Amino acid sequence: MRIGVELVSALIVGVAIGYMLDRWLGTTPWLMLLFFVLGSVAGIVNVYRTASGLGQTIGYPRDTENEDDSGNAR
Amino acid sequence: MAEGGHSPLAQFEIKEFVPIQIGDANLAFTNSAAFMTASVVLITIFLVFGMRKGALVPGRWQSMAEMSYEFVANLLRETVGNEGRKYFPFVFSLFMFILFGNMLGMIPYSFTFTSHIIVTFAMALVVFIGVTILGFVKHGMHFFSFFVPPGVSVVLWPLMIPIEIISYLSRPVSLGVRLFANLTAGHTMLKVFAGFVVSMGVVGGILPLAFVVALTGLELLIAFLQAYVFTILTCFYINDAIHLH
Repeated sequence: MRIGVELVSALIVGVAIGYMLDRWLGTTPWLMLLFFVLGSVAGIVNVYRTASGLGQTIGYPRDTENEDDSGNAR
Repeated sequence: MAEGGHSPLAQFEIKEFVPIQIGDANLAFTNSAAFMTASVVLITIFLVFGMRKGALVPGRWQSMAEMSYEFVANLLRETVGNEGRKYFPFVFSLFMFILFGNMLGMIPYSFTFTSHIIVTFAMALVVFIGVTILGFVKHGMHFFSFFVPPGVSVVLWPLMIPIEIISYLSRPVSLGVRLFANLTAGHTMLKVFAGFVVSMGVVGGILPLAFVVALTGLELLIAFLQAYVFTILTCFYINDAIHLH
């Protein structure tokens, strides 16, 4: 459930941004398509981060602050 | 059985207790507001009366109050560190409010205010906006470096930065939707299976009845777990805003 929510919410935000920009700039439907792709990528990135145990944080691994093992694979 | 009042979704209906209309705004005191008030009052009673004696060797009640305090304090210390102490009142209030809301919703015939997306999304938005402001206050314009992943070549920046921004903006959506979806799905499922008990009769109804009992236990777990998830994500976000990467 948590992973699915991560994926879908980024997609929703991406499409919403694209839709708003299209309405504003009158470029229907191109920006929405672009942001649909960006949103799905962001969703996959979110899922990857959640799944690979980097925490649900958006940022990248913190600089070995409290992670002593070198599992900093992106 | 009367039709209409027994749909599995009837439990989520908003009922106005005291209609208040100011201008165009409908500020009626609804069952949702009543349960929010009840949860705040119960938290206050739980904590204030639990700690009234302040005994060195705590009784049961005081022990529970101290446990919930320490639980959130440890959570905050582990994820944010000592700088997080300042934000403890906010995080603790959030945790207790959601926990009591979820738990009150488990009482039969009661209303679960966390099963309304407007409530959870408003709370998520408060967290999101607060954390963003915190990031700007702590780091100024340097906060934008948050959206530039370290170790990525400049060529990829135009691609990575929009993805990071969308990823960042999706936080309140996922935070709000997660709580709402879990609570709504769970409570609907409970009611659907409870409906099977009635419709399948005395003999056939035993199986769904056992299932409802098991589901109730699961829902209690989810009620706690989702309050915990909401809280720990808030801690993560505060940590991000303070430490940036």
